[in-house]
Order: sequence, then structure tokens, then C-alpha cells
Amino acid sequence: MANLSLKHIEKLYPNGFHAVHDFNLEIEDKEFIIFVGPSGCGKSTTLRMIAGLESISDGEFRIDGKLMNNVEPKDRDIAMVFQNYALYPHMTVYDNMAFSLKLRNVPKDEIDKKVREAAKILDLEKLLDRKPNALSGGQRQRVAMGRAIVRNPKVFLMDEPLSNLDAKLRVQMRLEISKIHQKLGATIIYVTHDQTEAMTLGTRIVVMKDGVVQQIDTPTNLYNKPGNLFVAGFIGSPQMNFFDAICNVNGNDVELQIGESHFPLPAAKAQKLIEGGYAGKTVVLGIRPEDVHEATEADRAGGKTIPCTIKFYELLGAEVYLYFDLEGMQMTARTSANTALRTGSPAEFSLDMNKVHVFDKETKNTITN
Amino acid sequence: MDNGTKKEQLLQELNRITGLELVLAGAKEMQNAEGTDCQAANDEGIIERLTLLLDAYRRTGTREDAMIRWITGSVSAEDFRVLADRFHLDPEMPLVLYYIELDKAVDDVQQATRVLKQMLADRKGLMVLRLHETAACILEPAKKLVNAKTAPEDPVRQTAESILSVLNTELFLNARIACSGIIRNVFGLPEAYGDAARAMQIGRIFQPDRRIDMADDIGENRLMYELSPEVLKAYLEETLGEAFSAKTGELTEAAARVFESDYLTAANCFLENDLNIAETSRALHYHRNTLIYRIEQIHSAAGLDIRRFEDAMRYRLCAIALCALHQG
Repeated sequence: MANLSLKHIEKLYPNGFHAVHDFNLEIEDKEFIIFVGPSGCGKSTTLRMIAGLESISDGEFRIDGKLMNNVEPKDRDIAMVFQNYALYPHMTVYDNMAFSLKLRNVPKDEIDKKVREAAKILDLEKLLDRKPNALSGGQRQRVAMGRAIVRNPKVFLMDEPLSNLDAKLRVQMRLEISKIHQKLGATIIYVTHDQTEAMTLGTRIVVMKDGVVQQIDTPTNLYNKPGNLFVAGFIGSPQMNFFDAICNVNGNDVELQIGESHFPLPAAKAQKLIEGGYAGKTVVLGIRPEDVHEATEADRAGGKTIPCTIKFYELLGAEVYLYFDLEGMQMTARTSANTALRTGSPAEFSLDMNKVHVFDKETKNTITN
Repeated sequence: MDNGTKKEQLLQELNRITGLELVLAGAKEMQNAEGTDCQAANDEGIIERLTLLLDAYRRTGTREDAMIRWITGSVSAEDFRVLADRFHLDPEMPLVLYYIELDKAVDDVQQATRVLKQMLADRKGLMVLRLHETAACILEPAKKLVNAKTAPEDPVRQTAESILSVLNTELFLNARIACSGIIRNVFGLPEAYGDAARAMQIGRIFQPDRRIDMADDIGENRLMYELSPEVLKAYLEETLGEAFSAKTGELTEAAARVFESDYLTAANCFLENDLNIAETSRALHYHRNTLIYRIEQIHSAAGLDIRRFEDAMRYRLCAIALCALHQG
């Protein structure tokens, strides 16, 4: 069992650098929590505060109700896996996994039991007698994980553990980590800057920017209901399209005007803009590339299409990214590889207005989600 | 083995290690003057003392100890040449020095050096030196780096990151590492050690959130670190005008806001991206209008338009000067 509680956590360095602002998070037992954000957003610093490797400037951190702020890292019952793991080159896989337990004078038979259990979980049983130089990159990474597993900790802390692997191996190891989480039933906190890793691994994701938590939610909610412009832009690839739009209100009807183009909003979204007092104001319209479609006859009949010329065509196998301009701003559409459109083709697109996101231009917060 | 033989063996061992001829003066006279019991007790005392002396020489008479004494400046170059010869140290070997400081004194710093030796066991000729209870030093032969096609700082940084990772994950120790550049030969070690220690000192002031300092990449932080508070104040007053008071050493409230970490991050990234708004917004995941707003705030509060290169540099130098002034 490990429930973690972080309340009003702050990290302020002596030179005035405020790395983490008012971080609040409750983590339930067996959760797989991801900290994600661009470089320098404070995710690793927060992880290191949880590990005890950085002091907490203010706030309270508890594990199972016990205050941990001043508890030594070795007494927090945690294990860590970092990006730049190094195996002991002259030791076998078995000894690599056993080494930290030997240092702590754990009895030999207990070490043996723990190492073999971890090897079974990680599918390393047949490799226990090998030295690191006889292992592949993925196997080495699993040994590094094994060194953490043998400690049988309450919480696993992982800081970009897959960053040193090539793209193919990363995908494999992502699956492995997911399996390990299921097998161990452990609480894991995982830091990454890669939103794909975050979306595929996490039960909940903490999105951070400039030391401030932007949103804490499930992967699906982050994607479908981003809380602000940053989250909307950070999660999803290709990025969400954004445009400044004027909010025109006519009774209960609302349409967003981008240059000469007008896009009527569905009733529920329209209501939120009316209630928020956005009539006549400039807002930010966001739409994901997969919600920009080639216009149908019905769209054309309704006159709500975007006529354009395709600037770039990018084939990715099963799908295609099409780039074109709307009122001088670049827009991306994600469509099937069957499309006949190519670079230079004239085209007409429509927006799925049920999937449109609208943000306050000043606060950057969502209005419609 | 009788006491006489033991004494003889200890004296021979001392002679082998130190090169000194030691004689037990007065021992015979004492033997003749007193009884056998007293003689035995006296022999045991001599053996104990010789053993202690031998242990002390053994501790200080190692290759590692010779290196520690050399890099910390407690032995002259002339004496070190003798030691290098005695311990078969290759004086012309290029080296890289990693200076490691642990955040706290630990019960058993030897454990840390033991773990590091294991981790780096495949690196031929590498030495892990324990300097004192919170500091250690690693010397790694760098012949390969001298001839390598890649920039030498890459593998050096990677090694430093691995060292930190092992200390963090295996021993739960927090540490900071300063790395020297490539040292041409063993005689450059004391200077490289001093540079690394200084790089760490400067790093702790200007970049406390980082854990690796490269001695040959301190940049403008080194300049500001060397300046007196008076010179720093004069520079800030001249550059920021009314936004800074030399009397109090403080910024106005508005100016203080634009020297906070979020503004500094944005401005540094803007400078790194050649003052390109689109590239910087992309790198920071900012909306371009957010970045433009911050740039304009800096202009209005500090009088520096960082869209111009010279003002961007001034802003950066002011940030470093402020840090040096308040932390130095």
C-alpha cells in the first residue's frame, strides 16, 4: 500500500529560481502517474523532492499519512530508475541486481529469492549469468529495472528511463513497463517530456509548465477536454490548430468569425460563450487536425467550408497530413491516405464544430470544456 | 614466530615501503637491565608501535594517496615526480578529472567509492580517490577522447550523469559533479582540480538546480563571480537606470518581476533561438502572443528591448549580476 500526498509543495533555490509552485497531488495506491511537460518545467525537480534528493522549500509530502519532508531518501521505501543508468560491467546480471542488497547486508538466501523473483517478472531468468556487455539495450534496461524491483519498494520513481533507447526499443519497453506495472501492482511516478509515453502509460497525467501544474487528468480527458491553451497545444501530435476568432452573438446563436469565414457553434458551446460574456470579444478557437475534414456536398450547401490550396502533403502510411492556410495562419488536417489531394491541389475543408475548443484569449483557460 | 623475528620482519617491511633504515636504539640495553617478563612486555609494545607505524605508512604510501597529495597541492612537483616514478604513473597520460561533492557527510563514504569503482571497473587505469568525508575525485585516462571525433564534453557529461545516477539510485546520495576539460598530462592536475572546484562553487550560486558543472563552460558566470559588489551595482545602475537602486541593491517591484524565473527562461530560450519568436514559442510551448507579451513587459519594466541582440545580452548579464550580488 502506498498513498502519496503532496500539498502546496514549493521549490525555491537560493538564487531565487522558483522551480515548483504550489504543487498539489493525491496519488492512490497502484496508480501510474506521469509528470509531463517541456524541459525545465519542474517535473524532475518534483520527482527528486519525492525521492528526498532535493529538499522541499515549503509544503507537506506524506507517504501513507507519514510526513516525509525530513526523512532520509534511504528511509522512504522508494526505488528509482533514471535515464543514465549504469550497470556494473564486471558483474553478472544476477550480481548487478543483488549488489544493492548486499551493500545493505541482506541475508544471502533472501537476496537470492528477490533476485529470482525480479528476474521472472522481467523475463531475465535465462540471462542471470551474463555480463552487461552480452546484453541488448532493452535487456540492460530491464536489468536496471530489476535493481529497483529487488528492493520491493512502496513507490517506483522513474525519470525518463527510456530516453537513451532508440525509437523501436522505446515502443517495446513502453509495453514492458506497462506489463511490469500490472504484475507488480506498484505505485509508479514516471517523468517524461514525451507526450506519447505519457498518454500510453499513465492512469493519470500531471501536465506542468514553468513549475506550475496546468492540469491533472486521465489521458482521454486531457486530449478531449484540455483545461487551457498550453495543455491543448502540448498534448496531441500534430498539434491542435489555433486561430484568433471574434465571437458574434445573435440571440441564442453564436458564430466564430475568422477573417471572412464564419463558423456557427453548437448550442451547448454557444451557451457557455454567451454566459461568459464573450459577445463581441476575441477568443481562441482550437481544433485538432483529425476534426478538420474534406468538405462534403452538405457542407458546401451550408456554405461553411474553407476554400484553400494544399501547401504540403505528408504521407505517413495509413494517414496523411495536409497543410494549408486559413486567413494567413497555417492549418493542419489529418485524413485518410486514400485522399486524392496533393501539394498544390485546390481543396475545401470543413470543421467538426462539435469538436471545437474555445479558449479565453487573456487567461488562456478553456471556455467550452 | 618469536618477538625478535616479528620485529625484524616489521622493520624490513617499513624499509621496503618507506626506504628508511630504522634501528631500535636502546632496546638491547633495556633487555639486559630488566627481567624476562618486562622484556616480553617491552617487545610487545615495540611490535604494536611498529605495526601502527606500518599501517600509517601503508595508508599514505599508496598510488591513490600520492595522487590525492598531488592534486590537493600538499606535495611539491619535484617530490611528485619521485612518487610518480615509484608508483609507475604515466606522467604524460591525458586525463579527465571528475570532482564529486556529496550533499551530506555519510557514515561510510568508502561505500560510495566502492560502488563507483564497481561501476567504472571496465575503464582501464581509472582511479577513484576519496578526498574527505563528503568529497571524492575520479581520474580517468582520456587518450581516446583526445583522438575522438565527437566533442570530448559529450562522453565526459555522460559519465558524470551515470555517476550521479548510481549515487542517487543505489546509495540514495545526492551529489554534484564538476568535470575538468581534458588535462594534457598529470602535472596539470592540481590546476584542473582547482578549476573544477571553482566551477562547482560558481555553479552552486548561478545554477543551483543543475548537478553537473563543466569547468570549461562557465561562461559569463565566471566573469560576474570575479567582480566586486560595487562594480556589479554600478553595472546594474548604468544598464537598468531607475529600475535598480545602487543604494539598496534592489530592483523596483515591476523590474523584479521581469527577472523572475519564468521571464528568465523565456529570454534565455529567445537568445538561444537567435531571437526568433516562432522558434522560441515552439521550444517553450508558448503561444507566440504570450512570448511577445513577456518581451514587452521586460522592455517596459527594465528598459531593455530583448528583440535587439545587445539588449538581450544586457538583460542576460543583468540577471547574472543580480544573482552574483545577492548570492556571492
